[in-house]
Amino acid sequence: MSLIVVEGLTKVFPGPTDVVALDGVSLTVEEGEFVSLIGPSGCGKSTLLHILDGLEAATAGRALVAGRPVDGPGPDRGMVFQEYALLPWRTVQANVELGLELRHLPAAERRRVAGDRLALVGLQGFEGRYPHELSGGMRQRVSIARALALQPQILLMDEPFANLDAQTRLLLEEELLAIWQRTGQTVLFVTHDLAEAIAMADRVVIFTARPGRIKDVVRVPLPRPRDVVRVRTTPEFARVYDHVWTQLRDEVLKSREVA
Amino acid sequence: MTIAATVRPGRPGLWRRDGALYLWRGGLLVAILALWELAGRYWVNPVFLSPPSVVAGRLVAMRADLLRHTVITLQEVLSGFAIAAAWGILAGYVLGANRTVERVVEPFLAAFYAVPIIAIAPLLILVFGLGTRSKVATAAIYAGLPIVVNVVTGIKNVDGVLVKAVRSLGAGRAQIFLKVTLPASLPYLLAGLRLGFTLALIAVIVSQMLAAYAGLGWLVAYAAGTFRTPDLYVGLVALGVLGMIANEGLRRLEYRLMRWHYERGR
Repeated sequence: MSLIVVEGLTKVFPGPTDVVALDGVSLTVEEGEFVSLIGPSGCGKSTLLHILDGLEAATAGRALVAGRPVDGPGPDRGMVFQEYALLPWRTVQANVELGLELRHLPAAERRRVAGDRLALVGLQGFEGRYPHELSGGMRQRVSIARALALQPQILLMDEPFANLDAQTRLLLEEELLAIWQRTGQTVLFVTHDLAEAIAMADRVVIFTARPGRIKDVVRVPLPRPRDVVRVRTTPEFARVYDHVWTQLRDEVLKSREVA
Repeated sequence: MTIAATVRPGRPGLWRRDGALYLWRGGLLVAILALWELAGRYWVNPVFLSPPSVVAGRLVAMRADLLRHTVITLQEVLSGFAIAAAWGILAGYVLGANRTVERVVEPFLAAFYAVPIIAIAPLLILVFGLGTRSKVATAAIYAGLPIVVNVVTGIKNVDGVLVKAVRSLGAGRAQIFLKVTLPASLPYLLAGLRLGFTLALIAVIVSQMLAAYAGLGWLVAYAAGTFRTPDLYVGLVALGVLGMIANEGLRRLEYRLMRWHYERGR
């Protein structure tokens, strides 16, 4: 059975006019897969991640992780937010330890694990710094280390690199792929950046404009390990890019009309 | 409620080691004192203005009395402030955690806040008598209000994504409060305490001026009532110094505790 199974998932945000964020979305993700989710703004990609993480409940349909329905956050899933979401009054080390602390792990063990994860994201020597002393790229590395601290099977990333400049972004894409290759985790990666979505993923899931439905799932037949920069110059990449963009374009235009 | 105190007072600068700044401030002080001395001696009716030399003389002469009034005032302010902090913090977090209750109570708090201290003080003197208790009560009630308002504001301003992040890491309600809400609202709480302390001082002085046996407020009112102008100025100087020390002390404490807050986004 697939690691993640989503069946007929619908999410309605009630209000003066109900907002249908997700409308009957079905998707399966295999263990160890890297899947990008792409679509116009407000198409419900983030909502899908929130539901899978257990931060929000679905209105209808099912979300299963390892065969069990999601009914709240768990250590098997780690989330990375676009806004980094680091606690500004905690040092880098204390931020990474947070998840372990919430689960009452002994201090020595917390220190060891945090040190290990910080090394993984290349932040040894920054343990005692505060988030405001770090660049955006470093903050997001801390956030990734924090999500990795509990050794989740699944990494849910909600536009993690959207706030970074283009060069930092390429570097982090490269490092994320290296980490993924080493840990063998399953990654769901929401992005607005078409090239990023393709360069990173095994499959790209294209969402329609609101209400969010899955328009198409495109397999990316590029070999691994990939160089996230050089892969973009291959003809195969261009072919996939063109195919995805053609479909996405209509949806972006539709969402413009609505907005 | 938008009466929250300045949450970013910036780096405390009163005693910063900055030579030029020191010099200018010292110069201004000397100029003011000189002008004051001249005005007090030659230009203004001595019933209205006592020159600094006379004030200084009186200050030394009545130092024992002054000390007694200062100590009494401080005791009343600190007792009232302590009570205010206790109920203010408690009420703030209870209201902050219960949006519905907060929305029900808000207009009442705002209305209460809007009644001037000086209008409520006579009632409290009527209830608690001329002594210390009425002063403490006035301070305890008024100083609590900005603390409540600030804590509620602080909780409202907690970044939602931080709450999401700790929930994602497995935090329950109590842990969200301890790990996010509490530290995130601390800058607002401390600013509220600073504001509350100033209000406690004002409340005590006002109550002392209306009716009391002792205290700096009483000293000032009594001196004015008996045309002892130099004594009046002694009281004012003492109050000014007291207020300044208290405010600067609290700001420094705030800054020390909240480094992450003030140094962020520079």
